Formats: sequence, C-alpha cells, structure tokens
Amino acid sequence: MTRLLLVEVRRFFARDIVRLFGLILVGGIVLITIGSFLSSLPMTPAEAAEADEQIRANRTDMEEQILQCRNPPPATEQIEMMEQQGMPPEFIERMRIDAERDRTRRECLDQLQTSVNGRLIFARTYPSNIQLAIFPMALMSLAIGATLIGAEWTTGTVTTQLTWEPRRLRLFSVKALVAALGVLATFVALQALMAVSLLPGTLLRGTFAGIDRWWWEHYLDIVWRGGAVLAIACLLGFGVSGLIRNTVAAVGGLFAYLLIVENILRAVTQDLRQWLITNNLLVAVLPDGSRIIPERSAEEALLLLSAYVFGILVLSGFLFWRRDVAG
Amino acid sequence: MAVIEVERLRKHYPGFHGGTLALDRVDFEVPEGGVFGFLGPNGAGKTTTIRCLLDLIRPSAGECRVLGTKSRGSISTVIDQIGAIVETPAFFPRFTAQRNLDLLAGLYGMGRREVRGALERVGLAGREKDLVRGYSLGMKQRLGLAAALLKDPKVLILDEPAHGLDPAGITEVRGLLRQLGDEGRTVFLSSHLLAEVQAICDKVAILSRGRCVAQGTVREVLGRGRTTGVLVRVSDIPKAMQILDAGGFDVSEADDAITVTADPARSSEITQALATNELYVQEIRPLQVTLEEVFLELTADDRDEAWLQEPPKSNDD
Ligand SMILES: Nc1ncnc2c1ncn2[C@@H]1O[C@H](COP(=O)(O)OP(=O)(O)OP(=O)(O)O)[C@@H](O)[C@H]1O
Ligand SMILES: [Mg+2]
Repeated sequence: MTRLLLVEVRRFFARDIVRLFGLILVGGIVLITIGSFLSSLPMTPAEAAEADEQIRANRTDMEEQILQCRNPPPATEQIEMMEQQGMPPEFIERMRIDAERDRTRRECLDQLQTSVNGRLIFARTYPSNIQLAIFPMALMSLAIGATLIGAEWTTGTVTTQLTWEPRRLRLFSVKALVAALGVLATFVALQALMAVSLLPGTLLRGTFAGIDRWWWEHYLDIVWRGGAVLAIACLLGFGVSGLIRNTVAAVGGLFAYLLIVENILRAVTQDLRQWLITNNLLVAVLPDGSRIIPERSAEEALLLLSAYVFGILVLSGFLFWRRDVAG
Repeated sequence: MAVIEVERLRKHYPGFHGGTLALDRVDFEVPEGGVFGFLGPNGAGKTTTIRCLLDLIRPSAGECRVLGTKSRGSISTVIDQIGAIVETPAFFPRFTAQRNLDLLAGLYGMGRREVRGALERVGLAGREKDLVRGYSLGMKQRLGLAAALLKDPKVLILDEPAHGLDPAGITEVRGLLRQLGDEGRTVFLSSHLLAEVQAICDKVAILSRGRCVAQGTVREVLGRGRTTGVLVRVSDIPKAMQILDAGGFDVSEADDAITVTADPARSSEITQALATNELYVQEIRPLQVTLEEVFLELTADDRDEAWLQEPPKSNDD
C-alpha cells in the first residue's frame, strides 16, 4: 500500500499538467510580488510609525467591533438619505433588510481588516490574495483531478498498471487520495510562496502590524474552506472523468453543466438554487455566502458538496471495479 | 501442473445487434516451462483470452486459472510472478522510458538496477532517457517486453510481442523467448508469425472464431494438416500428369512440377509408374507441411464466411 502510494505521488508530480499549473501559479506570484511592491507608496520612518500606531489602535476593541457588526443597529440614517435622493421604495426596503441582517463572525472578521492608504499591510494583502487565488485554483484542481484518471484511460496505461496492481478498488482509492492530497500540498506551497513574495514589499515599504489572534482566526478560516473547496473540485473532476473514462469529455461536460445547465436551473426555479453546485461553492468560498443561499453556512455548503462528490466517487469506483478493461 | 488452464471460457461483448461472441467455450492448458504458441486470425479472440487470464475482463462463463489461481478476483495473489503484454503496450507518452519503468518497478520495491537490466535485455539501453512519445512502434514493443521482464516472472503472457519489430528485432526476440523458455519459465505467446511460432514453440493452440480448433505439440498439430503430398519434377509434365492420373493418383500442376496428393511412402510407386512409360524423374521429394498451411486450413472457415463480413454473433445471449 505504501509503495503504491509513493509511486502514485511520484506519478502525480511528474505529470505535465501539474507542472504547468505549478508554473502558472509561480508566475502569478512573481507578478504579485512586483505589483504589490510597485503599487505601495514609499514612506518615511515617521510616517511608517504613525501608520503602525493607527493599525494597532484600530484593533484594540476588536471583540466589541465584531459584536456590533454581527447585530447591526437599525439603518435609519441611510434610509433617510436614500429617501431624500428619491430612490424607489422596494429598493430602499431591500437595502434596509441587507443592512440590518445579522452577520456571521466570519463576515465581520473579513470586513474589519486593517487598512491604511498606500501602505502594504501584510495582514490584509496576504489573506485576500489567497482568497483570490482559490477560484482559479479550483478550476485547476478540477482539471488535474480529471486528467489524473482520464489520461490513464486514453493512453491505455490503466491496462499496464492493472497487470502490476490488479486490486482495482485499492488502485482507484489511492489515485483519488493522491489527487486530493497533491492538490492540498500545492495549496500549502502556494501559501508559503505568497508569503515569501510579499516579504520584500512588506519589509521595505509596509508593515506586519495587525497579525494577532483575530487575524489568525480569519486566515485559518480562509485556508480550511479554500482547501476543502480545492479537494472537492479535484475529486469531482476525478470522479466524473473516471466514470466516462476521458479527460476532455469530463472537463468539458462539467464546465457545460456548471456554467450553462446550472444557470438555466437558477433562472427557471427558486427552489433548486440551494442544491446547485455553483451556489454552494460560492457560499463556501465567500465570507458573506449566506447572502447567496439564505440560512446556509459555509460548513453546510461544504458538507452538501462533499456528499455529492462522495456519491460520484462511489459510483465511479464501483464501475472502475466492475467494468471490463478492453481496448 | 498446468501453469495456465482455460476451461469452457466464453466471452460475450454486449453491444448493438446482439453484441459479439468473442470466445465460445475455449479449452486449453499450458504446461510449465517452454514456449506455448497461441495462434489465430484477426478477431479470433486471442487478446480477449489474454484479458480474461489477467482479470481485465469478466468472462461470461467458464473460468481460467494462472499458476493454479483463479484469474477472476484472485489474480493479485500471483500477479508478481506474471509478466504481461496486452496488445500494443501502453505507457505514458510524455514520460521517459526510464520513468515509466521506474514507476512500475517502485510498486514492487525494485530500483534503477533492475530497470537498467530489463532495458538492456531488450536492447533499449541508451534510449531510456527519451520520451516514449518519440518511440517507434518496435521500440514501444521492446519497452513492453522490458516491463514484462522487470518482475523476473515465472510466467510471461505476451500478446504479439514481435508486432512492429524489424527482421533483426524478430530474430532477437525469438532468441530471447526461446532462452526464457529454456530457463524453465512458461512463455505464452500469441502471434501471427507462424514461422516464428513453428521455430520456437513446443506446443501450440489454434483459435478460430472464438473456438479452439487444434492444440498439442507442434508435431501433433502439423499432423492435423491434410496436405501431405509429393513433389515430382519431370521433363514432360502433361504426359506425366496423364500417366499418374491414369494410375489413380490425385495430381495437380505447380510451377514446373507436379504435386501428387499422396503419402510420401508411395514415392516408389510414382517413380515406377513414370519409368515404365519412359519418363525419368528429375526430382522427387515429400512436401513439407508448414504450420502456416495447417493454420490456413484449420481457420479456412473463418476466412470463407467471415472475411469482410460481420464478426461472429452470439445467438444465445
Ligand atoms: N471491447 C470490445 N467490445 C466489443 N467487441 C470486442 C471488444 N474487443 C474485442 N471485441 C471483438 O471480439 C472478437 C475477438 O477480438 P480479439 O481482440 O480478442 O481478437 P484477436 O484474436 O486478438 O485479434 P487480432 O489478431 O486482430 O489482435 C472480435 O470480433 C472483436 O471485434
Ligand atoms: Mg489481439
């Protein structure tokens, strides 16, 4: 089992697509390094000290700020302002509901991140970059998961592998496991690289101020949801591609389903929305996801998505075990 | 003990118009040691049989055993002693030959040394750093053979290993397979190259339209051929044909000579009949039956009816 696992890990990192996506990520990070450096303003030491002071002051009464954010007071002032501007009443009503709704702690932490104009604040830039990277990485994970098993079928190497390891369920599970772990390892590496890439800008023109208990809470929350989304995307690609034994068809079919079919379903009926993959993905990734599906937390969305993917994997694994490997 | 046993093996591929009956109660046994030839025309079911042996496909009925173990579901207990090539061996085109083999070797805790040995044995040493994508058909076939040899297996199940090889390659592989057989390994070889099979195999089985039409030692199978005859060369062919025909022989003309369909033991009767009529024989010899002739004869049904027609259809599924 360990040998099979090690071999599959080697195979994973030897695959062109994994290396290509790795390169793209590294390229993106280099661009971010340069961009973040150039876009931040140089400061005198006195200005920097003042900015640091401001950040620290902002963060003294965090728990209180979070409490306020979670149960916002009636939005009387904003409503008056909008009425004066002559906005339509339905619009104002919608704004009022949104402004006065209860918020999650997650959403509040995201809103209360420190900011000082023109200064590169690691505590703010780093997590928001990671959050931004999750969407393209999810697409990549889907493609990686799909090609990992799809290419084995199109090149016929499944046959070769089965004449070395005929226990099909074992082979299938190890491949799926390695796909998911590989994507997660890449995600961890991305975080490390992103941190390193922001170092020059932060050290020369920015600040590390604001990395405290709340920051860690916010950051780890992004990381675990992001990691779960990436693993789910990867296994979704893997499961579907294993079912139809072809990468291109699997990726094409999945994108067509997610972008076209789900959009139509979304337009046609309200009731289905809470079951759609795309909606649940957004709930899982965005800090204020509950606006997309009311009353659904990121955890619930992830649980539902995991259930979908588990179902597809079980079916895919069953067929991998049962079906003839001929031609 | 028989190393490979196939018993009433049946395989029906489902599909439109009733699907295809690829194997129809095939029976044969491969003894331990030596080279066993598995012959049959295109579509006879050779690859299908090999896939059943390796548990890649599920038989519709019957069963097969390798090294005494039932293939279906249990092949994993003996797979480390089986080296196999199924059709054109498949490798990752964008990996080097070396990496492809390394990844297989890693499954059994083997390393570079074993991989190098296998590559050397099939004549690929020096090309191991090339991408498989850039390999010729013959080179891929050699790589497949290297992968099969990597496990140092007791049994080799090879589906047309000489496919795509040049004449020198064919001779090399022939030597290699014979050597493997002489080392006491069992080589199960499916092939179209009948002269090769005749040269290196101890035993053969001939498959035709999903049925086993002959099996046994090469000599036994050659004996199944009806085409025993004598070749006679004389100066006046028409006259000689007349004489022999009158003498009750079944004759036919074949480039500058006469073929007499008769037991070679009757050669003296032939010379006598001709000599009495003042025709003197320039050459007379028994016709050698080749495996190719027997093969063509035994599988004639296959060509007469099936050539350019639909493959055999199942009628009881
Ligand atoms: N995956 C499949 N689905 C449906 N029919 C198949 C499949 N594979 C093989 N067949 C059919 O089964 C029969 C036997 O095929 P098989 O590949 O075993 O022949 P073969 O003896 O290996 O031929 P060749 O010498 O051309 O390699 C053929 O009629 C073929 O069309
Ligand atoms: Mg074949």
